[in-house]
Amino acid sequence: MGDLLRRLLRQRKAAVGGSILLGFIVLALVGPWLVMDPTDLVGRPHQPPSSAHWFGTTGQGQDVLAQTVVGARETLAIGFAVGALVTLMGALIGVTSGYLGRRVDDVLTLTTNVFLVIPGLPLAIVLGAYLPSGPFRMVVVLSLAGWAWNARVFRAEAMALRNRDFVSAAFVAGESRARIVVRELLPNMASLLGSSFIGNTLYAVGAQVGLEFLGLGDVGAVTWGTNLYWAGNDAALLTRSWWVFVPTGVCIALVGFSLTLLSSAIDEVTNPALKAPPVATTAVRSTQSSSADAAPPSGALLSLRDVCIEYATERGPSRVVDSVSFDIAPGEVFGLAGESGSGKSTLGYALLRLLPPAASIPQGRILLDGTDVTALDETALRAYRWSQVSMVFQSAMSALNPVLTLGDQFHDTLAAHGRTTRAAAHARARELLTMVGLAPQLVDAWPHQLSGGMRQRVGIALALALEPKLVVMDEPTTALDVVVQKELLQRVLELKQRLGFAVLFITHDLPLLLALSNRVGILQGGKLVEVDTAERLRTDARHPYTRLLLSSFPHLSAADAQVPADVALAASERTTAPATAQGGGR
Amino acid sequence: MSAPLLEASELLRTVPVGGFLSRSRRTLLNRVSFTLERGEIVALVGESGSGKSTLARVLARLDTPDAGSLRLGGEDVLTVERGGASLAYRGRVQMVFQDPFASLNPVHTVAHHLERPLLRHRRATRASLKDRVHALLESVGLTPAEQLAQRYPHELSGGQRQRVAVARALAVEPDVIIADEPTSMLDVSTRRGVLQLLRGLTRERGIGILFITHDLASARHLADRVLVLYAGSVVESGKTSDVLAAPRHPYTRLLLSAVPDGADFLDTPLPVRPATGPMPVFGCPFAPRCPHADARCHSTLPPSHVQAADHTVRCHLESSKGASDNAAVPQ
Repeated sequence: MGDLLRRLLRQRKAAVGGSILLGFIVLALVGPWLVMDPTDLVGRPHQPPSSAHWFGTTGQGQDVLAQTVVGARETLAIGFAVGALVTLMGALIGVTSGYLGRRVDDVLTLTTNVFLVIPGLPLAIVLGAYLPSGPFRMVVVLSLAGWAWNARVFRAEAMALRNRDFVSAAFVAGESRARIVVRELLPNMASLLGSSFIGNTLYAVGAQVGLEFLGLGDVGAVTWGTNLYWAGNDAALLTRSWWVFVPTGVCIALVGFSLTLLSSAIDEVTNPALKAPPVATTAVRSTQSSSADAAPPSGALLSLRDVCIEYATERGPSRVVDSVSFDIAPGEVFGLAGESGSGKSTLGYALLRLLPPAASIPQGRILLDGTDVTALDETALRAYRWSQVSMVFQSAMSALNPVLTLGDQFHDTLAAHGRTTRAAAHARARELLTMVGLAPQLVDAWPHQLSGGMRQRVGIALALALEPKLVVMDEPTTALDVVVQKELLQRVLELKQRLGFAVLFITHDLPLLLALSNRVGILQGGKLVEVDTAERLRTDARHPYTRLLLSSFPHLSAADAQVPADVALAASERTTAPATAQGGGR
Repeated sequence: MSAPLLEASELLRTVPVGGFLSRSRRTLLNRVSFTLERGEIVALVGESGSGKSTLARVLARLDTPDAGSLRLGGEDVLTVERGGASLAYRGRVQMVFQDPFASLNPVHTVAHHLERPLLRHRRATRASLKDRVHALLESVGLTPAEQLAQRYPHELSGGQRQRVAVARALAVEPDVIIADEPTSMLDVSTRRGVLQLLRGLTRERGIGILFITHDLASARHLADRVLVLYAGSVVESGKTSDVLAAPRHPYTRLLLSAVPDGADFLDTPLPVRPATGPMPVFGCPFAPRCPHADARCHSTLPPSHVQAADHTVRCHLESSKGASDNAAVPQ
């Protein structure tokens, strides 16, 4: 919560919105003592601004400045009160309903829905007729008309949070339901509570002014809404007395503006995705250093020379891949192993130039068959991707388009690289599906009808559609069971035998990689610490990190149960702890 | 012999499938029975969808089975505590979740995560609270404890978070810990540390651990006994060394042959048929994929069959090898 406030203060939108709102709050608190009585008839009606009455007088002869300033008090008080009440009611009812579920949820959701379909204005008019007049009536009316929508929002949020493990963990620890709602769920909704409160206050000010303007409020009180009501009643427009209603109108607009700014600032701070990401400046590419000019060994399909990749962050560029060089021969399986954050996936994406806008390749060359991939322009890039190098992604479900049948996805891919008819594309799709061991009838299936292993087979078939020379596979089997994994990998090796493409296989699973690859590179913190053939790495790895990784996997057969790797492991765990220990002083 | 620490018998859990009016139900757990003794680690292995996590949730009382009994120290807890688990049960059975990034509340400090169970179960007084929290953190290898206690979850690495989750489970001084794939979300270099921590707990404190995993290699590394789950049924169980050295059930053999271990693991074919047709209603659930299945496998469910002293297999092919079918389920 404190962290949220601090980040908000640094936001320009929040600063502007907050200052305007604070100004009005101060005005509402102290203003009424500085101006004359707004109900006194102090001058002649409809007088334009003068030195005696800075904002002129109303149709009754009252001071407009005094009315505007004094009106702020009740308007804002009711606005904030209704904002708080609506948020509180919505949060309590919504969270209770979403967390408890079943019967409670049924009853509360039904109630909420009933309130949602009752139109707010007629409800307010009917309620207004039965309740005693005064600010209290306005609060009750607006709260009753406004809470239901909030309850829906909070219910959805609670249902999403309810299934999180920390809620289950608190339950297993023996916490009561009430405590879980108040201490575990609600603090996680701080930002939602904040933005709802702001949004509800905005609603309350608007609705209140609207009701009062229609004469449904307490016309004897001095608020912005009644100011406008009297301005209309006294024919301010007909007499062209603009000064009667413009000050109040400007105040309402400014308060609305400041609340909107605040609400959007909260959204941005709590959801960094809404903020425009820093875009990498197209760095002046350093003229190739002498080492980078070293010609790739003849016969290499792909060669990386001194490749560096940087991400632009708010704290300057952060280098995630540092001077990586290796070669892949045609038809070779090259494995890239590393832990999370080692830069292995970034490197894979770089081969297809699929890096996000924040990333750049300031140095190094990626040569595929002699063409420098880092120097391709957009048109050349489109022709290069997929036909030269294609990719199989970790999450097959998100890599396939859920609203297209498999046949149409193949058609998309094929049509993007040359003319083809739908029938021809479907025929090719059947052929490819058969190739990866799926039934050709699946060409008319939707992605959600397939199991995880089948989807990944489709991913491989798609990657092979244009017969590329290299297929990048980024953890394609991590989400799969071991049996499915082995089936899939055997199929990949068999296809490679037949079609002759090379594979760059990226995973954290070193034993798997050693069995699969001809050569393996070990990445640690963006640096390639060791590259060797799989056989040599298995028996005599040189780098201590490689040995640490190798010893981290328990084996089925070897007597490795008592490896004293404990000390080294504990040490590595401490050093790899993220350097984000900046939030100490909350 | 005294009653086992935790004993589940014939646990059945089904969920409704289909629309509003549909009466059909899908079986997640099909009469699962097992025991867990003091100081013992039992591994539960199986593929995704085999019912591993459902069993974990039932044992942690996050879910209620349709039928079957659960005994803790000989006491039938499901009939006594109908309205949900008592505080006493929660004080004896704890759970460590799979994803340490989700199982710690991002808005609370490490200290708060440990203080709550300590106070709730009266394992510490307000005065001794701080010392107990620090002692807990040190017992899971998180030092310096004073500093780490004040951190928030996002300031810790995955391995450190999972250690905090283990410390939280330990805070109530439980007899049983259910560990649901505690290392699958961790980086490889930190996995082994967490596994060794769990092993140490059984040796030093006599805690019984049900270790749920899809990784047979870590099961071999850690567990005394292993249960193999397929489609909600225990198809094979026994001492880890017995089961992994001489697997009897075709599914266990299939799992073992798929573990990436050794240079030639991709060269050996998988002992499996591509699944044809739906899962049989009456027969063995593995029959459609089993390379040895015959007509009997598709029509009748095999009984659990005693192999050796403590090695049971649920397979027709084994039962036809000699011992009578009636020697089933001696648990």
